Amino acid sequence: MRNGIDKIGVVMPLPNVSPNALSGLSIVFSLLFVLTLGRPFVALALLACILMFDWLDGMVARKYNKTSEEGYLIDVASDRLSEAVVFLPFFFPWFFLFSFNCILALLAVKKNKHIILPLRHVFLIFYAFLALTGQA
Amino acid sequence: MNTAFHFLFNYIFLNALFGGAWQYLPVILVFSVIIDFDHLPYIIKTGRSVVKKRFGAASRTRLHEIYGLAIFSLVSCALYFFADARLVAFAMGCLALHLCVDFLTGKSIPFRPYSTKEVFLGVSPSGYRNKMLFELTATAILGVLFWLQIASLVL
Repeated sequence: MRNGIDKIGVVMPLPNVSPNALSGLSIVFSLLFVLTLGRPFVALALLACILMFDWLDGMVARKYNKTSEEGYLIDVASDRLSEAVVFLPFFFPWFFLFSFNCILALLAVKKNKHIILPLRHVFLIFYAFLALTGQA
Repeated sequence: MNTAFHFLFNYIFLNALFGGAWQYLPVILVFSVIIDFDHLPYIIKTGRSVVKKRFGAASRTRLHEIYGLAIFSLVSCALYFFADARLVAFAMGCLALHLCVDFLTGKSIPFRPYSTKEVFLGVSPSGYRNKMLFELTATAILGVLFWLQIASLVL
């Protein structure tokens, strides 16, 4: 899976920007996402952007040889902070799952094993369903 | 970021998100500030030079990082069924936003105590003078926005 993503990154024209800045952008977009919940399709587009930034930071880091321990920690931390903001208005059950994911993130750093749930990806499908059925 | 910024930002943001933040003003005030109390041992240890050194990653405890976020979120989930759900959301919102702002604007050690690596996103000013200017300007803008919101409620 990772090899496939790396191959896409090599072929795709990606900007040579700071991957850490892209991780930071995912938090900023999370703040914008919760403020636009009144407009479900705008919110859905912003949620897709959050996941795109999450995907891009790793791709840019690998393509331009900017991978580092600092980058990994920033990526995992910004993902958790982004989840904290995104799931705040959807407290039950999403915030409960987020709490569990926070513990998994701490364990991932402690044990050096990436065992974190892709909660926002599942939430994107859930929110897209809500938006399309007019329940968002 | 300074404590005033945290309170003003949290109030304005949570008011836009949930509405009726005025009713939860004491909750927002307490939970916006409470995390910063972990700076106290650092202030006592550093003394007067804290003005020059400011509050970097070294001034924080593990509660000011992802470890704290995990604990606060677990506690808020436990309280969600027993306390006022809206109050819990406001309190947790303040804590989460505080950590987000600190992570975006300064250096941190996000996975303390499991990793001691200090990280910085590099998206905000880093020099002492530029940082102070940025902080003061942002706090002043939020202060005006807060005053306008309160004025619209009173008048």
